[in-house]
Amino acid sequence: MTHKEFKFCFENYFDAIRNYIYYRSGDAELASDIAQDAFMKLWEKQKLFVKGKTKSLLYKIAGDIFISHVRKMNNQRTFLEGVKFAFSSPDDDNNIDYTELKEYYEKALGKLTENQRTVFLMNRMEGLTYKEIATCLDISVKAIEKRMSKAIAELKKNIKI
Amino acid sequence: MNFDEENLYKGKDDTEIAEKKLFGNLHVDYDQSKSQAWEQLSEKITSSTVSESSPKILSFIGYKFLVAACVLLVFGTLVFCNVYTQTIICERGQHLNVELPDGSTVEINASSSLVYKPYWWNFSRTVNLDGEAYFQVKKGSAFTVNSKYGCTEVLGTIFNVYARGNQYEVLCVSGKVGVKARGGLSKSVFLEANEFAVLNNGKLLKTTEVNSSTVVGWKDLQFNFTSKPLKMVIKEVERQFDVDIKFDKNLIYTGSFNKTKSVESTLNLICLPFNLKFVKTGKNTFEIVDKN
Repeated sequence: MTHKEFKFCFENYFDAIRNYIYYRSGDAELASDIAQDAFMKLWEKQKLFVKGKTKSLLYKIAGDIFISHVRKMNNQRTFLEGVKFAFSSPDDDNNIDYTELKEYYEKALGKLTENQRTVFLMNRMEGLTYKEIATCLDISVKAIEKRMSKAIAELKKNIKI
Repeated sequence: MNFDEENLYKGKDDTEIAEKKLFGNLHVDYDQSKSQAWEQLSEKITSSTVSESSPKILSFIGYKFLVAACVLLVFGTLVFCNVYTQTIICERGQHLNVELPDGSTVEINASSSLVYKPYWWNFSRTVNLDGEAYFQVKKGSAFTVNSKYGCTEVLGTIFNVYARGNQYEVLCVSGKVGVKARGGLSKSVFLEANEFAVLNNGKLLKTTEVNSSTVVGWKDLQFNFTSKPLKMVIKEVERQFDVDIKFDKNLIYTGSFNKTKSVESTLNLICLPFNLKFVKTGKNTFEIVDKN
């Protein structure tokens, strides 16, 4: 992997990887650290750059780092309250409604399992298709569908509009 | 479509639209921006580039070397196992009991040698024999005894091989053995218990009327001869007692001697019926001459 290719990877995948860890952990600082570590590891490995493969390799590395971190921190792990989001652009129409809705979702998402939340947010936030998620995480599309439907059902239960 | 149903669909649409709109307009707020992260990362990379990338190339070459070394090692070990031989030599006047790697035992008569490959034993049970030996073979794959003029193949049985000079004799004590003359076109001769094969002018002759205890008597220090040239008997005496005997007559001998007795009494026993006598010419040398 050349320096150029590495830069390309960073430009294109860094946000996705960082968000992926954030969806799993709900910890922005940790997500930044792990995403950086994952890229560092990728560079150290010096594998040949293959477009799709390198991306899912990054997901795998980041996920592994996260898991080993969780194992280390197991005793002092704080309960996940929810994930926090910010608005990209101020919405003038009915900002208040959405702020409220956002808070509901933030709380409800904290009640999902890690797998459900991750898949749901990858789909909704990143706009990834089920198939794309499946290749990134190296699981089957069927599994994604299952997690999604469970996540949606759970969210519906918790958010009553 | 009634009112309720329409409402339901409408309601669902609304939530979905709201959700999509919401998430489409959201992002995660990180303290560290992407460019900051890149700066940190590229700093780490450049500091480790020199030490990081060069060993990788080395290790790739090293990997090739490793594979080559492994192949060489395996190959070398195989060659070594195949080439390495163990030789057991039984000197004159001695008898040896040898255990082979699989537990088969061999009793080796005086002035005989046995060669085998201890590390190749699992692949082929083969021994080279020059002289006389009594084999007790454990059951298993083919066990082959090679000699200058013939070879004997068995699976697991007890048998005696006599291969001295140009003589080749095999006695089967139990089980079944296959004997083949070397070089010739003769077929294998199969021997069952108490059967005996002698090589005669390149051909194997099978005899059934044999008392096996007389053939393998040497194990119990009892040497039996039936219509054998006296020269051969004297040779056996030389081997068993580690002496040199000068003798030059064509006579046929039937009888026996025992190793527990002294050389002198043994020679006396042999000489008597032929009207011969022996003279001691040195410490371990004798000469047999006419009595008159």
